[in-house]
Amino acid sequence: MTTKLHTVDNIAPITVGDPNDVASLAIDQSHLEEYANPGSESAVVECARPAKGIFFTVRAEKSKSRWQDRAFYFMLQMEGRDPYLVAPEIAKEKQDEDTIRPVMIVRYVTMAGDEGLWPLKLNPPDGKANAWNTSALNILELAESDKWVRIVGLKKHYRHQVSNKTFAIVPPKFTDRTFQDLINIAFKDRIVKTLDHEIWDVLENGSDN
Amino acid sequence: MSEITCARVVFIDSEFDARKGQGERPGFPVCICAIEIDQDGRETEHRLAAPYPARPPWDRGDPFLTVGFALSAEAGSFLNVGWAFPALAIDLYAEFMVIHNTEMTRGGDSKQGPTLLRACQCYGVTGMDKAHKEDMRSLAYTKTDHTPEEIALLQDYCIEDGRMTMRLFRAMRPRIDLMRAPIRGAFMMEIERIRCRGIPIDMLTYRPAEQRGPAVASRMREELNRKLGAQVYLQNVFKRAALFQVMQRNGIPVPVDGKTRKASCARKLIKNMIETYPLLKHYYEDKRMIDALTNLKLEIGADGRNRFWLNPFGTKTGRNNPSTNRALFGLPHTMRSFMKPPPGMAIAQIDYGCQEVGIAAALSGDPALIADYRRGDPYREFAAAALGILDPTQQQRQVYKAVVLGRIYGMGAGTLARNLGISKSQAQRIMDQMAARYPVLNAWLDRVTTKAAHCIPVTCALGLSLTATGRPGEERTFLNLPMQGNGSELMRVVIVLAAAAGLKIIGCAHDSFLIEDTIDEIDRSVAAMQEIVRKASRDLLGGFELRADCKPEDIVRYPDRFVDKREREVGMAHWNRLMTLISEENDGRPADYRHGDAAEEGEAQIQDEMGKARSAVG
Repeated sequence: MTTKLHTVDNIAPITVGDPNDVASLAIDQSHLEEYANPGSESAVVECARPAKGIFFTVRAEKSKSRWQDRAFYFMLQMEGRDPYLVAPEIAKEKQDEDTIRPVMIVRYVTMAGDEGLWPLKLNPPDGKANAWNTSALNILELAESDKWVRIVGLKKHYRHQVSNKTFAIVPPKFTDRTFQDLINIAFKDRIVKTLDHEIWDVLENGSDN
Repeated sequence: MSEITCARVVFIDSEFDARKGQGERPGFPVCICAIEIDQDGRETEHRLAAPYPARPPWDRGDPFLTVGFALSAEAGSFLNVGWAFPALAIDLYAEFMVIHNTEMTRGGDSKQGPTLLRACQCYGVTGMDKAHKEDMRSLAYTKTDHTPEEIALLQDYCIEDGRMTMRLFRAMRPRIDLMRAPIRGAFMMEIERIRCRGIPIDMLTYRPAEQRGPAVASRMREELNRKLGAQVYLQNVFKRAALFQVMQRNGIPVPVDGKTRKASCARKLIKNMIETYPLLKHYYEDKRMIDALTNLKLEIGADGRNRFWLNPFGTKTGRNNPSTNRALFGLPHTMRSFMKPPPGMAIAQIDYGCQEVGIAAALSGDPALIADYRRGDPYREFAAAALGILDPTQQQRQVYKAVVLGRIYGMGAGTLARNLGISKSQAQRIMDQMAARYPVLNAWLDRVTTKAAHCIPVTCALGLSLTATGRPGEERTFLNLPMQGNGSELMRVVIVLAAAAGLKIIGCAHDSFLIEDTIDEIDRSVAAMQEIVRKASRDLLGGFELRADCKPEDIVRYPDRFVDKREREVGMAHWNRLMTLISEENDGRPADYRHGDAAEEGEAQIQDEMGKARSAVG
């Protein structure tokens, strides 16, 4: 038996369901009658592009100065790891680190009632637009005009499809959680606020896990 | 919701010794290794080899979560060293099959489970060199007398696998339903216990069948040609066109495959028509028997028990999908009579009566269907009400059963008319009768279809879900998902609950369970199992209780053999015919393939057994 004292984040403690109490874990099947899943709020919020084939929508922002359901962040992304949010002052310190880039994170809800966060990469300030980024922003604009949209193609740029179902038939079911609540759930232990965070060591020296 | 917080997570892996052949219990573990992470992020590596401690060193009484990939393998190692299964486990193989159910079954009903390397690849997680993995696996499998250096090498490899599992867990974690995953984890471990027990096979009748199978199949092909009056088999090769001609000559409509739009004699299409057309029933039953006999390869261990991989989550509805020629329950129902309890023992089959209709009644809340289901035979009740008679015939019941199930499966009037040998307008009239009798069910089915059509996931009680991909007409195939998918969730819960109650399950089908116990205890075990089967339905279906059927004839005690209900209905005719053909192929004598002195004694025993087999159940 060997004990290592290096930190392994994001594993324990962990809360799971009790398999001896199946009745309390069963998903109420009355959701089959509705167009949306049961009202329970998911304990998991993903920060990723909405999956292909899933219709989703976003809320338009009423005021340009006080956004409710979107915000700009610096995001650090590494293969094989969930993304991290980096505090602006730290991102500035690490401006040569190419795993960090500015994104606009937008809250969305699927037709099934699952909420998520969509990180949209921004076109660089040099004026050279990227087809992926531009097409994603176009889909965002379409979604915020009270439409159910889905991403259907991933060749050269995102393509989309709009559902014939209007909001009158399938109203979007955003939960009462705030945008910040969702950010906290999605990035619980992955907000980098200091220069001694373990991720800098991983980026500099690598990791065996 | 009942939750348990675990301060530690343990990633486990094990390697076991030489594979002793198909159908055997797994070998003794060469090593069992684990990486334990505590809440301070401290990591402890455990490298164990024989002699193993009485319990795992990481099991210290407080709640901890065990994580592995395809935990059935580790379950085998635990059973070998006498450790209890962990109370809380997550199997990333099972989670992968659930999370990726939709994309894995695109265009088909079944799915192939991933390897650990493949799963890592899917999540962009650093894996391991494939060649190194193969080397280590063969080092574990090809011998039993490993040197201390080889054991140390295998322990290193086990720890590497554990690290890979840890990386995969981190990547998959946002998508894992942590509340329900431990039920699947417990199920994945319990199916190994079921496999280890195995299904007892009567080798005295099975071995001759296996050895003479191809010759018997050849004779059955000739007989079938004679019965159908056509060369459906030409030089032992099946000719589809000849079967279509037979069907046309006898006024039997040729089914059309919904996907290819071409004439088809696929088993699933023909099966729906056999109750209407006796000739087709002959063909269907004989063809299944011929196919099985041609390639009879049950995986049977030296102790005469059939052990096979259940292939859990192997279909889009989450049902198990075991091999059709290596697992007894994959063979035609006639051949289930190869199952026979050993001396002093008994086997019982407990099944959910009319499971799919019961689930449809529970989920839709249709009061008429609920009442019909609770009266015992919903199809008979519907037939009686629709026809205005008290006691419908078996054939009338069959017609109304086909309509109820057909509607649940999304069949249209045209397909029903073909299956039942009636006109489309007659089929439509019966469907209208059904809509009038069960309006709530009808409206509910429509809503499920609409939901599927909008690519909204249809989710079952423990989280198994499927999403339409947008192909036109695809939504109809989603109609039976709430029934079959929830049926598969029930099966998993029953297996976990039965294990906790100490009941010895030795096999299961979609909606039925086989238990084994001593002759003295079997009745008590059956009663306990029936209560578990009912409880599982109450737990998952909001209090609605499904029936747990087990008739006296569903319990067999040594020296009797198991007989499937359908075989009982025909007085064992198919079984007796099979035994006769095998006997004739063996120069009129049943064969004994043992050597030496045992052969003579065996000869007499086989004669006796085959005689009993032929005259079984009266």
